[in-house]
Amino acid sequence: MNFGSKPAEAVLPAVRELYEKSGAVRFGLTIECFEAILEQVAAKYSPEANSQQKQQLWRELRIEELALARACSAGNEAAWVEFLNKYREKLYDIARGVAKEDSNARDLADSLYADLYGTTEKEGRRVSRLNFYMGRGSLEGWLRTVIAQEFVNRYRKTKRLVSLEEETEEGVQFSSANSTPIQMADHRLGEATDEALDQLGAEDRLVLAAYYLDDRTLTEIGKIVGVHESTISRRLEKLLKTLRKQVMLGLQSRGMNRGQAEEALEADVRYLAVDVRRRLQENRSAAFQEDKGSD
Amino acid sequence: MPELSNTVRQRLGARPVPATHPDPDTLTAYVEQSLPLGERNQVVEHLAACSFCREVVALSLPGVPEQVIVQPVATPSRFWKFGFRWAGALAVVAIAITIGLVIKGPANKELTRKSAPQIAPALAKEASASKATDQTAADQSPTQEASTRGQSVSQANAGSSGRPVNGLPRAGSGETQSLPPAGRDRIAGKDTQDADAKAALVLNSGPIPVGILASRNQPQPIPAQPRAFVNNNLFEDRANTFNSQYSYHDARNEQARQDAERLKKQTTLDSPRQVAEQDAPRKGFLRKAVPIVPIATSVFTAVKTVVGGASVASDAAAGERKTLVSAPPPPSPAAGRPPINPSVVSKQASTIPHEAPDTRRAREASPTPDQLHWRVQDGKLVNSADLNQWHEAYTPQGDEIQFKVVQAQGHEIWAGGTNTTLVHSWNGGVDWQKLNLGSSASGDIEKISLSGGDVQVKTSNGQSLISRDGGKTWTPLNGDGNPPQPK
Repeated sequence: MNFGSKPAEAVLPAVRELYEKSGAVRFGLTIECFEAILEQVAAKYSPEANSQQKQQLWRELRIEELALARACSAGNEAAWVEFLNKYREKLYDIARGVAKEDSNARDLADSLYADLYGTTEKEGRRVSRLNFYMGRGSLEGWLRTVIAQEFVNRYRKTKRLVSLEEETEEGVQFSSANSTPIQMADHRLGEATDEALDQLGAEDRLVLAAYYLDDRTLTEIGKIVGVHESTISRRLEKLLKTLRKQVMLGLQSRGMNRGQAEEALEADVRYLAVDVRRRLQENRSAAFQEDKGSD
Repeated sequence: MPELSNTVRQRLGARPVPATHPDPDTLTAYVEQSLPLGERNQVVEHLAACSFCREVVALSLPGVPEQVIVQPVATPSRFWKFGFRWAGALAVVAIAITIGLVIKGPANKELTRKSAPQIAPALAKEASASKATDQTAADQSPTQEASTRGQSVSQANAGSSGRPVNGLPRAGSGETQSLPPAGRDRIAGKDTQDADAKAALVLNSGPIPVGILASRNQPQPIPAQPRAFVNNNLFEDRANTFNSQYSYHDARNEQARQDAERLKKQTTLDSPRQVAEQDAPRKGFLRKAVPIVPIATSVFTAVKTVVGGASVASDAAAGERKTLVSAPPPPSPAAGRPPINPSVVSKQASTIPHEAPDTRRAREASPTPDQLHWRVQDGKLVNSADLNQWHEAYTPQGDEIQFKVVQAQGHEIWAGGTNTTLVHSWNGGVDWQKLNLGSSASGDIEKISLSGGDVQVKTSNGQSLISRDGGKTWTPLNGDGNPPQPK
């Protein structure tokens, strides 16, 4: 790893303190390398931060795990021994937890393990995925997230490819021709709904999407949002009432009377021919495409 | 939970997805709740619109630790135990006599003329007198021996509870019916005391000793099913095996053959004690630790395929009914879908399979943990089941509340804060009620004391109020801690 050289006297006391705390010296990381890593983290997450803000950011990092990961990335043997002792089994457990099936889990974990070790070479050097770990969360949590990302990517990739035989099994040849979708009774309903959703907070929209689009449980949503599941339950009920009220108001402000607005909402439930699945899949497909370039 | 209307669902899913995604570090920090507020809000904003990141976050949540529970064996009531002991014995004797009459006819007339109580002692005497005959019969027909043993066990099962799950002989009960057949033969042939023991065995459990049946050319009763397991899943697996692979009698014959092989190995045993010790490990599963699959595992038991527009959630829901313990492994995303195929068509990506909504909602009805830990953190009322993750338990509606103090006693939670705010939950934080301390109260609530059914609060202005009716009415206390006396 070449992080450039800097005289040891110029190193900030805060960096020195963190360096000692991290145990990076065990893995042969010099204080200059360590400071360069910290600067890299600061440049990524707080590019315009002053010295004090940077130090605040660094103090919140998982400094020991960051040193371990970067030492592994640099190819230090002692670091790899410690990493394997600490995380190899966990890696498989995490993969099993994500994939829910042994062979897939092992495949997933092995693939990630290869990435962590670094199989591709850039300018004659192995590129380890651990080099992307920035220490903002725990290393174990980071591994879990990376495995989850890989799993979702693989799953979506696989689901895109369906053989003709499988299509036949699904009975595609017997399906009726696409009927002309029933047009939405009134475009004002869509506009009013958009407006009502815009008025919601991001967390409320997250709760709605997780529950109604992703079919997450209240417990899972509670963990995602960081509140108790009973709070989610109450919030969902309240959100639905608020949404209905807002949509009604939106419809009325667009020239409908109360009766017409209620009728439009009822018609929405009964006759609206919206291919929700297709819309959602389009949405997810776009997300996948964009994600391929990230990281 | 009410359903979402089509339009809202559609518009919610069609919101524009941000161009960039948070990196794994940021998502990890979000899951671990270590992000600063500003960044956290950005991530929440992104998650609200990005299904990919929502899935990643949901999959990277720390799993539920595996729990191990011990299922106690249900003990039948004494009434049933007493009643079925004799009912089982009499029923078996009656069946044996009937079968004998039908098949052998006149050859068994003498036997059939005797009533059941007369048969048993007579058989016991014959057993003690015909050691050699018994031994020969056991050697010649191990299958018959095993089948008789199966019958004995079956009767024991019927005598104890009549249900397969509880059909096991109870550990430590010392009943001779739990002894294997080789041990019984040893008992019969050893001395007269043992012969008496065998007689007692016959009287108690009812089955006719195998040697006698063999010598009389009696038709062998159909062996009973092997002992049922306490765990439902194991029992269910065995039942499935019977249904799917073998006929009922084939399975029993197979079991009888296995028992006969085991019987040969047991011929070296010398005493009933040794026999009982040999049998002990089989009693070990009376209390069997059952690892419970984490709940998260069951999420994948229901596969909702949206690619072809056809849902197969019903199959998954059927799998869910098999209890959480025996939840089958989920289908592999890549299973049966070769990545390289000359006849491949492209399709839209699908969602990660999740649990069917019905089963999911049924599971959500499960009660929350009784014992939660409560505290006030940064003016918020939070609770935790494991002291690691703290969740906000009460969301103020309308006005801003800074909580100062919380007291919990069982499911009763009391929390106080600024401007004499006092909230109360009577069901462990599921429902909350905001209480009014009266117009005379002022300041912030700084202390809450629970004593019996009384609740006493103290405000920052030095006021003390007490409620003896669960917070409906509040009475100011004097300086001496007593309510003011009516004039």
